[in-house]
Amino acid sequence: MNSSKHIYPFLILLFFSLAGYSQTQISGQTFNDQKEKLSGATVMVSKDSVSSILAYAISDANGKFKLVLKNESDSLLLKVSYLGFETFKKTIQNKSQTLEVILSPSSESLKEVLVKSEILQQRGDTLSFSVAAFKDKNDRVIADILKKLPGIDIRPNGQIFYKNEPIQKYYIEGLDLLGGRYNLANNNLSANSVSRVEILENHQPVKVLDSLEFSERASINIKLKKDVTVSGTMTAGLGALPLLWETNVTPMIFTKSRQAIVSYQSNNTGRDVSGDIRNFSINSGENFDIDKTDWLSVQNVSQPPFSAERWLDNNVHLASANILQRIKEDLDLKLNISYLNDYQQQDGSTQTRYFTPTDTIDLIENTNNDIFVNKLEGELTLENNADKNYLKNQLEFNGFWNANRGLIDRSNSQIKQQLDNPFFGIKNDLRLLKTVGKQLITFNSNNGFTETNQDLRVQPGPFEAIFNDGNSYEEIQQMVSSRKMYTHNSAGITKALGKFTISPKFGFSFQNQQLDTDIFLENGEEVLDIDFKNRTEFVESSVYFKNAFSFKSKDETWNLSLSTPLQFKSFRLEDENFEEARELDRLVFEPYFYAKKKLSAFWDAQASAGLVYDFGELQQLYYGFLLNGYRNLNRYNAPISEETRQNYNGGLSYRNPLKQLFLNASYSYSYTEKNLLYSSSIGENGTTLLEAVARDNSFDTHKFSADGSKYFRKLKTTFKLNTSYNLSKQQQLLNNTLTELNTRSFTLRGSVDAELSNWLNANYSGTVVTYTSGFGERDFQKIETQQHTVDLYFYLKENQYLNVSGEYYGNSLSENGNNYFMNLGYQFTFQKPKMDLNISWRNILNTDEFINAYNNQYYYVQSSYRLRPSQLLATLRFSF
Amino acid sequence: MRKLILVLLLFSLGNLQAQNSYSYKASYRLEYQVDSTDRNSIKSETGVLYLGEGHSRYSSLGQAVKDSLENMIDPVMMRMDEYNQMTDFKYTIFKDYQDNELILAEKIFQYELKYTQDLKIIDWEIQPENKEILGFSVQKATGSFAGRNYVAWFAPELPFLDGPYKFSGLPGLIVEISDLKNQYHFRLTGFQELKTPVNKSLNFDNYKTVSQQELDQVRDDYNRDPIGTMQKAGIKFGWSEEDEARQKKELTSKYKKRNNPIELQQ
Repeated sequence: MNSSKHIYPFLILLFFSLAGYSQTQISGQTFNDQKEKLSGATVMVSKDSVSSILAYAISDANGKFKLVLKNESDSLLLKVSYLGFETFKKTIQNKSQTLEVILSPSSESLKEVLVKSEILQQRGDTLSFSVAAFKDKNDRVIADILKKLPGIDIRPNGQIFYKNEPIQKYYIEGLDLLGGRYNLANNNLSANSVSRVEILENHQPVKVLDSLEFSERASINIKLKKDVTVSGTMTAGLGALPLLWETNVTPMIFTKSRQAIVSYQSNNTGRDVSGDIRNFSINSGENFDIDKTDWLSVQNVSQPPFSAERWLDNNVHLASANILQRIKEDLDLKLNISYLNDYQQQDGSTQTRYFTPTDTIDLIENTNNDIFVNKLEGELTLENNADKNYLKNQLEFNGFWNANRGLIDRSNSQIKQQLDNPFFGIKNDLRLLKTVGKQLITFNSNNGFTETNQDLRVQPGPFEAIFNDGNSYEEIQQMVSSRKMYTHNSAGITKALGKFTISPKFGFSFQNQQLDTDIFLENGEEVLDIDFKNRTEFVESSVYFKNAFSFKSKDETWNLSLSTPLQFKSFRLEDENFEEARELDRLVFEPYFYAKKKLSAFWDAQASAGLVYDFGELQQLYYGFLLNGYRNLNRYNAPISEETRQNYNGGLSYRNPLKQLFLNASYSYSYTEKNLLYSSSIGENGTTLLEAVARDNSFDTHKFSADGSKYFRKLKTTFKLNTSYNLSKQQQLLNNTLTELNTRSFTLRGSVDAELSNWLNANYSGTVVTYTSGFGERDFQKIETQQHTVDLYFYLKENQYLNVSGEYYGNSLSENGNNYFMNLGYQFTFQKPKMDLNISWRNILNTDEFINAYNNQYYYVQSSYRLRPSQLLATLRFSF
Repeated sequence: MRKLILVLLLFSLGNLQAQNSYSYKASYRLEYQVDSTDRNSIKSETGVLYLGEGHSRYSSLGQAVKDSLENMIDPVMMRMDEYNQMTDFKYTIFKDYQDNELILAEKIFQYELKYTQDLKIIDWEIQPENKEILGFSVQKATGSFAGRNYVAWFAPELPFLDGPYKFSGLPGLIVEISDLKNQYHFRLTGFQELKTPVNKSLNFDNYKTVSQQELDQVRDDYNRDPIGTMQKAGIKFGWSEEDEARQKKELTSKYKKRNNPIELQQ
């Protein structure tokens, strides 16, 4: 200890008496009862016990103190106090003197106080925000408030994140009406009806698990002002040309035991309303689903890489009804149903060039598609969330009645395609939790069924050599009938052992899939050759044991995690038309390890390694040929595919907030071993035949990436630069020749973001990508694509803003591959009545098509997509 | 086995540190004006001052809750999300009466920074006025610090040379302190002895030592553009440029309204 540091600077002398008084200097030393020097004791002098302090000093490391005062009074009261000691009081004469003070210990407590009205902002893990405090005059619906709350982000698709994690539940008055489809309430519930928004941090929605299973996720609860609330949103928009409309009517009612939201939305402006019924539910590790699977398709044109509002030619209607009834305490029944009807038109052309080791083949297609979407989905949920038990049973169904019509113009022919692809799926998920003594028993059972009967007709018939001895023929019809049924059951026990919780989980699953396909030629003539038929049955089963472990060091310098799932998987594939069956049994261990180390204040390093097994899906397992599209004929006459993939990743980052300089670099490598190769043979008219061949092969990729950014405080401007370089190598059979396919891609991306003034923001971003592919040492094709965007935001007044943007997309492949766009947007907010008027002028330059080019492993495609014409749209919106 | 690994890791990685124990706790209610141009922009928060022998620790309640969660031995609890969104004041101030210095430590987004400063920041002038606050007889003192003039009321019967924020050096705990414009006003709301002294130790060895100016600058950079800061740290947002610009503008206007720090000059 450095004693010079111990001389307290608090030897402060205070003078507030009249000039001319004699100066008194009182010095001394303080000791405890053991005669040890006491430093840090407070020495105060006042006139008497009731008057205020005249001077004070604090004893130094040697217990010494000195204070000087000017005062007339004859006597003074000296007080010396020290925590844990009785306050020393002595009346002394007002003259300079030296004193020795001995303090005696005291067990007397200091007086405690507590102001009762102290408002705790935080109670448990709940943060409560008053909507009034956050509400701005431009805010309409609750989503406008939510995104202002600390920690909350709303992504463009509407998903809500709290501290970068998706939220778990979206409650209204404690009830979970919408499940994962909360966009409907969030975008339409008027902010005026809401009194508070509660963020339930570390929220465990299942009461039984509350003390056992720690939840890192947050949930949101919307507290309404009134017990019975009626609210909603109405939007009406009109535009030209052609005539555009946009409408949204969403009323809702909330009472203590019943809640309902209904919605009708329609537009032909390219706005994708299906987002309002998008389900953001977090599906924890469920392997099976009843999602729509398509076996057949009409030839599409790839969609442009920007907002759908500029290219989607739609005519959509959406209706949704959601009702929740609280039957009794902790027991809720709810029904969610929605129906979507859409008619989309797609126009474009594609020019495809195939490279084979011996030849190049060109194909030009003008595509005109009509897409009809009819979708009905629903959920019926019964949930009992009590303190000791939990039960949730959810019955869900999906129905699609979709149809596509496609017309393709080629240089010398016209091809019609007609596709019917209805789909039906139903599933039931049951989850039961029960406490038995101090343990918790969990049980899950998921069962589902799907069915689809798809039908593709192509006129005139393709693959003449295969189906009609090389002669042209009128029509081919591919029929597919597919059924799937699964059951997945697991049981686990959660037991607390001191500070640890162990929760081993055992489970088994079983899935049966049936695929029947037939091909018919003109006049309903069936192709009898068994090479063009499938009667496949595919059975997958698995038994598993899972466990995971993670660790974070106390000072947060280390962060480690390890998971060790062990699974026994078994596959059986049979086709009654073929004698041999395919079988595979594997015990798989898929460990994953992740480590992160904080090297210093600004440096971080991380690494991960993992092993993953992938096995064939029925989509790559059928024996007989299937006409998936008008020019794709596929079959997989090979064993069940097995892939073993090793992934390694390492990265280093430097983040210096003082200099506002941020740098990252990472490298990853993956090595995959496969037992199958896919052989494509490409015919002269672009028809593709794909077959699988048993042959061990490998695939490896290296990926390097680096990025940096720097903020210049004086210029209020951020510069960013990203680069990445990918290298991959794989074997491929193309027209029966084994070749090694190499691809390299290099991406450079830069951006500048400047706040030019209070009312003007300007952004620029640009990307250049070079993609090269080739067989062996030979490079085939090099494509360079570029994208540049400039955005200007003018904040004219509090209630107005204007946005101008210009974009350029280009590629080196096509002569006319330059695409320019300009858009203008303006918003005005009326105060009385409260309404927003939004005017947007999209595609000012009236660019009628978007031309893009890309290349795949062995071909490149240049496509043009017809865009929406230059359009003006005005929208009026209010909430109630 | 898991337990063993954990114990080993804790031994090898956990830094042992001097344990500071605190036996008294004072709570303050802080009312502050966020926007210097708007008298109605008053917000409030709770601050907690832990008092020990020769040292003390002050932070907002939100920050204190966060720290105590992070300091639990239970690794599951340590994985808890950051609590620092709960408070506008994310620093912790340690006053050390042996070394006569104070350390302000703050984690700004993910950057752990600290600076050290002389403990004596104010030349107090004791005034003869007395009054009673919460049953304590208190005396007035005045002084100026970082561009603001303060009036403080201290209670000689509470023998601590301490107070909220960086304030200290009066012969008794500061029970109330406010600047003359009343833009920062701390009031004692609770004072209690802790039945069992608590360890509120934090390990600041890993915190990078910077100057006060640098720390204030980093904090300001973050408040000005939190989205940009997060993006630079590798966090990706799935939104469009347009949404991002709008969001940034909103945050910028919020930032501009937060223009009234407690320290106006250094």
